[in-house]
Amino acid sequence: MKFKKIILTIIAVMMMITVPVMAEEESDVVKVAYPLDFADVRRVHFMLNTLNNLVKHYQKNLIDYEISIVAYGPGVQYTMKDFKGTGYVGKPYLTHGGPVNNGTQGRMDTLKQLAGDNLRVFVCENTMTKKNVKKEQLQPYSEVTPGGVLKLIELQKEGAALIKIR
Amino acid sequence: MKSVSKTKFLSLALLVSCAQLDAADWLMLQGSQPEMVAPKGVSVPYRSKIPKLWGFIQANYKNDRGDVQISPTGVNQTPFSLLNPDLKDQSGFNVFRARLALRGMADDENLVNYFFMTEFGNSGVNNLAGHREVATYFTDASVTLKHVPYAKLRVGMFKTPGSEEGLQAVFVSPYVEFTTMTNQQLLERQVSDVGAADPVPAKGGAAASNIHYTSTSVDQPIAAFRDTGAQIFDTVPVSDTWAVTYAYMYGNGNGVSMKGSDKQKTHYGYLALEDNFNDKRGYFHESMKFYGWIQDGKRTLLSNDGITTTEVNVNRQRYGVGMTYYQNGLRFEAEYMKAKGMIFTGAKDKDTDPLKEDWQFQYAVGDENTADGGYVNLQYEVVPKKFEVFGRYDIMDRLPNDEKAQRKFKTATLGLSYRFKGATRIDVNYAFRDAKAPGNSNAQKVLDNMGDRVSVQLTAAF
Repeated sequence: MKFKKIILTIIAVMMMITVPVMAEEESDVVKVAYPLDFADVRRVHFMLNTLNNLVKHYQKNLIDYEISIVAYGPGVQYTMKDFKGTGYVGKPYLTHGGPVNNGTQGRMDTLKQLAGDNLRVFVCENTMTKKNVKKEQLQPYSEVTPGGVLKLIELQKEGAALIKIR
Repeated sequence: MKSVSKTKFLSLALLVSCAQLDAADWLMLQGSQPEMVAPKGVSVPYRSKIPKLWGFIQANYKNDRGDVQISPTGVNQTPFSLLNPDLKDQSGFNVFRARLALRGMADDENLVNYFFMTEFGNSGVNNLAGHREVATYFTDASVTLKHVPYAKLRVGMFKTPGSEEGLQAVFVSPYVEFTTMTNQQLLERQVSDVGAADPVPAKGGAAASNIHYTSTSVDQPIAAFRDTGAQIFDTVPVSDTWAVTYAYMYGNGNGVSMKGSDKQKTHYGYLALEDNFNDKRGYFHESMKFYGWIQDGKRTLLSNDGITTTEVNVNRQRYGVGMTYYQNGLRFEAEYMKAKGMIFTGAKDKDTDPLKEDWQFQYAVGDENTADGGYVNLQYEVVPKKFEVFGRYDIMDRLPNDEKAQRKFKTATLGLSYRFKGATRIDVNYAFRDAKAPGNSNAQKVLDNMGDRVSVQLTAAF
């Protein structure tokens, strides 16, 4: 009996030591999720501004990070390269305008090159079905996820900070 | 349930594809509101009840480098050396077009559309050949019903189906002046009161050969490619990219005059086949289009020989075929047109005061009369949608059936255009002009006064 108590105590002490360490290890990776569910191009440029700042900060300070953009609803247009037969229309602001006049697509490409695999772009399959968007019509870096909101919930559960651009 | 959703989805997809097919089709663009819109990139059904207010101003400076010749009787013989619309001088600034328009949806389902446009500029609509009394100040007022699939109905006053040059929105073209054939034979100067026939027709002959009339009053505005009537039209997709556009219109034949009579009834027909390369709308829609059109109507003149007034009924036919191509900044257009029956033969000064003019219009009537002509046009955007260079060559052979009255016109226009945004731009044109009277040496002496013309035009569209 005494031996059993000793064993339990040791296990409890080990847990007290180990769990915070594990938690600390998880918190070393900064996770951020951006919902892209709006059409307003000014908001998209603002979102890209904040993303640029984040990526530069984390890279400069050698901080591990995982940024996810989750596109659904009107925001899916910003992850597309071909609009034919879809419920979206390719607008000039995708390729023109913005700080260096390369549009939202040009800025997304630059950002993706800068961040590499630390930046992932998820596109809602429900929206794609509704708006008749095929996977091959998306930008090559886009990843299809069954539901945009589901993905956001999942990312939040994993500890991602949700940044909603207004 | 699944099959219902699929059907709905396919319907939506079809609707989207149909909506995009009217992109460069002027009949659809002017006659109906779009089925779908995507102001922020997402296609949604057009259901806005707020009227769209739009318009444009075109102010220009022109300089004609020809000569003016006054006959010993004090009559100005060279209207071609004077500037439209008032034919008074050879250079000057002019607000040629100042138009304000409203269009939109008049129901809840986008099945009833309307289009209304005014004109306040110093143009043929308000000041034809210096006749200020013709002014109407408005050019378009129409209602379109879209209840029957592929058979839209437009009723009111609007642009008639016809030549591309006349049918396209006038403020998009970088050319300041129309081609000679379009200006003289399609842009109708309508008159009712004319003098005696010249020469007097043989007894018993209806409209004998080579009969000409000169108006005694100008009391109607230029027709501006428009008429009042009813039109059935639509665009029907025949494949993923190809579409057929058709139109038939029955009109009064009165242009934009305030008249409710169909005594000059005119039939208008139009058929076009277009391969759509992209889904943009309007002038920058990339496509290749082939089209043909015909206009066939009656015109009534009241001829007064100083004693009695006689009603003269004549035929007026116009038809043509053409094509347009626009892709990657390269635009090519060509059109061949023919006129038969009533032929406009120019303005004539009736005032013997050498310092004043009273411009009247001359016509050859009779079915034997013809005129034909056309143009080829090439435009290239050196800087896409910003800086464009262009050239156009147009010809007209007027009355080849009448040796004395025959005139041959040739015009080559070169120019460049800088766009500030969309249709808001500055255009510079230089037109090399030439005219011949092969069988009439006296007329040739007058035509030798024709000179080149420089135009600079500013367009602001909003």
